[in-house]
Amino acid sequence: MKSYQFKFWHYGLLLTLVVGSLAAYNLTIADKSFFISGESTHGHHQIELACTSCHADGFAGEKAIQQSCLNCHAEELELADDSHPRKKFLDPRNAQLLETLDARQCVSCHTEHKQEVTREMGVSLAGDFCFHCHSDIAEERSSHKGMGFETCASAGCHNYHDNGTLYEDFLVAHVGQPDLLEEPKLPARTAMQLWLQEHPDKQPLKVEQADVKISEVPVEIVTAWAQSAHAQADVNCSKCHADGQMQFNSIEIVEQCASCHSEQKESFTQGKHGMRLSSKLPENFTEQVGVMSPHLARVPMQSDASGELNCTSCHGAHEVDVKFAAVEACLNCHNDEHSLAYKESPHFETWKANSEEGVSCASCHLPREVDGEQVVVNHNQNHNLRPNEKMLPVCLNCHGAEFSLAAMANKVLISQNFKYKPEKKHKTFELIRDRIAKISNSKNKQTKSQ
Amino acid sequence: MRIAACFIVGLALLTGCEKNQGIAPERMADAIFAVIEADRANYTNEVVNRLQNEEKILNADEHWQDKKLLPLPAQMMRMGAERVAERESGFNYALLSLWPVNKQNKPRTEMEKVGLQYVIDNPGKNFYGREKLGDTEYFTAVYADVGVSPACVSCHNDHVDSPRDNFELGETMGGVVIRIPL
Repeated sequence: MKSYQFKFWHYGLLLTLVVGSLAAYNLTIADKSFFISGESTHGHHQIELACTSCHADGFAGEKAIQQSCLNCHAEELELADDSHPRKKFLDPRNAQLLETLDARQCVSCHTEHKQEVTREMGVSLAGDFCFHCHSDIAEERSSHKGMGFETCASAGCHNYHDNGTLYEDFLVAHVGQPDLLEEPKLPARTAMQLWLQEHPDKQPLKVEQADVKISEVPVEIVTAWAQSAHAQADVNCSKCHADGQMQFNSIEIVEQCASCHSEQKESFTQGKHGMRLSSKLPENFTEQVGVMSPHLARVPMQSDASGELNCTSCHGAHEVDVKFAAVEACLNCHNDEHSLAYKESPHFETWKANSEEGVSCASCHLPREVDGEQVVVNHNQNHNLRPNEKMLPVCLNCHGAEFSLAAMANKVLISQNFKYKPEKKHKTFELIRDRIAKISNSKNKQTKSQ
Repeated sequence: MRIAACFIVGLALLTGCEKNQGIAPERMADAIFAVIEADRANYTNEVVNRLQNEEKILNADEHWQDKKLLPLPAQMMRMGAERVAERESGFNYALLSLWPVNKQNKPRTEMEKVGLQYVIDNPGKNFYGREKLGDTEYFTAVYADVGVSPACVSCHNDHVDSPRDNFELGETMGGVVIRIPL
């Protein structure tokens, strides 16, 4: 029998077929990980395998990519009253500026998969990007003469998108406040009070009123439920355990909770904790990659932190304990310097003294936001960290703006979880005082001339 | 018979040419300005000046959203310009001045500088020209923006960042620049 003589190109063909098959398998059936061109940013790494969320079909062009960014971030930019919205750059008079920096496209500044050039806030441009358009700022504001480009977007001065608490009139209105306000107080949550007002005749449910067979359920579970806000608000076992379902996966838990707490689910799925459960991701994505888990995080986590992140991870399934969720739930996982320093901080002292009104992790990172008559807890814990001056409205519940801004700009103080007071005042308020004097002089001149 | 045929062909050609020509950019710009100017005057007089200066009920302020107040007339116009630009409507417009409170609204192109000076020096006349910005050639028209109410004049004269404090009612304070890509 004559043996087959392999030629060189046969090996080439075989190799091509094997590599091609592997690539096709990875792209169409497996997790697409072969096609990730570089490490993703801290904001997107949880969903980096949901390729079509950003790239659409892969050939859709820059308009589709831009729309992908907006699909998730448009609402946030709208809320922030974006200082540099795309629409500002559509006037043809900006043509020359756009040749240097095309500010109409998010990816001009936020290029993904380029970890080696990516800085804070996912910015992949060199730090002098403000200078391209605002190099003549000292002509308009002589107070800015001699300031380096690195000072523009530093904490407490300016942000590219969100200047909601950094614009001049806001700072003028908050100048000279004491470090600690006379009546420091966070807005009180309203959900339970509003429910009780609307249902004055309802009495809290008791253990014996649980609509499950109590003998089949561990007593601690029924007891925990009877002491919870759910029992107080007439939410019986069957409300969650419909059709007798007793075990739920993370996706089902979040959906179940969202049937009453839709706003909380919406904000939870916008942050890093719940991003993988966002309804904006491709269908079945979460089933394929699983929900977020502490071991996937890029910030330091406790070595024994485990499990999946869903509503019950922090609130418990039956206790729905907001006190546990506000501190211990966080510290059970987070192991960074700031988190570990919390129990040494004056904020923790207030929490120990009074968990209703004290300052917990949640007080700052899950801010209570006033919406008409309601005060709703924003469950996107990243919302007011991008950048951290966005936390100023929370700080201002208890502290003056000068104290707060100086603290937010001090990285050492942040890592120490604000154990000490900021020693230096922020330069911004020096400029604001000069500005107030200038406005006052201008008004005096007008009065004299009249 | 020949004369009749020539007449019909000539008429058809003329009609065709007219259809292809469409509306001249100058006429289009003038029409757009008429709408902008009417809306701007109405908002300034009937809303801002009435509520802020006459009835003293509600002020206009740069940070109108945070302070729950009215947008400034210039902001109102810019919001319209930005919405038009987002819709890719086939033209753009902007409110500019040689003495802007916000320095982003000073003239940037050579034609803007020439056009704004022209409408100041020639009251009642408009400026028309062509300029190339990026890869596109534009028909550019500049129209005088006149201080139509005491609200315009007092606000610009009193503002700490205003380069001028002696505007008078009826004076040209800036210009509306309309651009149509050719």
